[in-house]
Amino acid sequence: MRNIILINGALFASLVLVACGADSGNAADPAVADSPAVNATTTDETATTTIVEEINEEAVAVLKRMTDTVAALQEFKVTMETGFDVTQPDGEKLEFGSRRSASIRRPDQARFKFQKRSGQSGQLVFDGTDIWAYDPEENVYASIPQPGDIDASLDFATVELGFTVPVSDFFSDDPGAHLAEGVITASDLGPSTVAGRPGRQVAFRKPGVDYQVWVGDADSLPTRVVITYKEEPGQPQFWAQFIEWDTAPGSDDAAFRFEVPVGAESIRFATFDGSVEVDEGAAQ
Amino acid sequence: MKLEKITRRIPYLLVSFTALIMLSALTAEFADAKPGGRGGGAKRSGPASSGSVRGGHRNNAQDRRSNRRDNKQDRNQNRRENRQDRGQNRRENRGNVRDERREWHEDRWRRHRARHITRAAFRSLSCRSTVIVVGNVTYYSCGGTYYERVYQGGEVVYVVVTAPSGY
Repeated sequence: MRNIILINGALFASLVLVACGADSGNAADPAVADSPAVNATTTDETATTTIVEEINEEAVAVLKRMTDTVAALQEFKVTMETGFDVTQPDGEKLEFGSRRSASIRRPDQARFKFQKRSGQSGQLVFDGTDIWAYDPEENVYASIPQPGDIDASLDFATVELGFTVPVSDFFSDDPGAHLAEGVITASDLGPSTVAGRPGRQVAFRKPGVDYQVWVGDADSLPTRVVITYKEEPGQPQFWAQFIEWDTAPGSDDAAFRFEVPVGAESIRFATFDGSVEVDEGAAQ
Repeated sequence: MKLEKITRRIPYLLVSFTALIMLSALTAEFADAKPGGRGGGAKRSGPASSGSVRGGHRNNAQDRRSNRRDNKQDRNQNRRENRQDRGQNRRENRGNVRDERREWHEDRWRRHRARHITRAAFRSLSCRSTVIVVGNVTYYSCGGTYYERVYQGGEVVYVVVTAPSGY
């Protein structure tokens, strides 16, 4: 497992100092400071390396049960409500969000739909050969060849085309790897009911990112996720509430085929670079 | 003396107070009709909109993009080595995909510095745009500037392009 970090003694000492300082000044974060989930901190004085272990095995087991369940679904449809903070240049924190759905058919087909709270909606389709994007408001679509599995297409759509596919870590071919990779601490917060669905709350820390997942007792599927971006200005959060999981949608091939809507105009995918952002100063 | 002064000012104070209330009511009405304050000008996406546990979208995307570049040569090498193992049809298909991808990349970099405006900004341009169709591409001309609709960063935006041939 990747839940053990090896660092040298000096680095560990400074890490402990930083951690103590942070904990004493952060009463709102008791889960990490006082949690019984912190199993053990073992130090090997004689060696040049120190092993820090703050992994609660039950939390890891809950996460694994959930990711194994999602990974085993050959086809599913999930609908969710999402929200995220955007820290404004003057520090004010505002929330935006959308209603989304994701239909996945492994190994290479997917359809993502979204409707932003502002009203704007759209679709992204992976048919196994191409990626299609559609904007009903402008009645335009674009496509580009992208054969490959869902991970490859998600990577291409988000990194190269600049699309946002929230919680795509859960739709990946290997959600366990995405969620457990680089985890430094794991905590089990115990029973927690979300939207009437009893489950368990588990929390994890990765470099720069804290996240919490609520996993339903009945089906081992996630009911909610909250992600905090610790190194970004204002420590903005993202949350998603999974409203419905349909694990046997029984959709036909047409569900993953892009039919060009009547009168829709074909446009191109243009430049995207992370450093270039869409002009602000106008509503989306 | 002081009290007298204040008493004399009461009517004026009342008038200004009423005016203030009326003004704020008016402002509230406008606020209902149209986003006020920061409103439409607010920044609407940021690191948290990615919803990924692999970090904020910008750094993450940059890392992955550079990884992609680093791996590109390895992959091309592998691809070449594997080429003989693959069937003729598959090879041709792959070549086509790669050609299309390369064309798109060239296009992408050529247009990299293109200016663009959001659809809302386009709609609020002072002039009425004329629509010109050249080939399969629709251009919008407005005050001597030509625009084309493209997907950029997951959004449909209007990029400033050079005048299409013949214009």
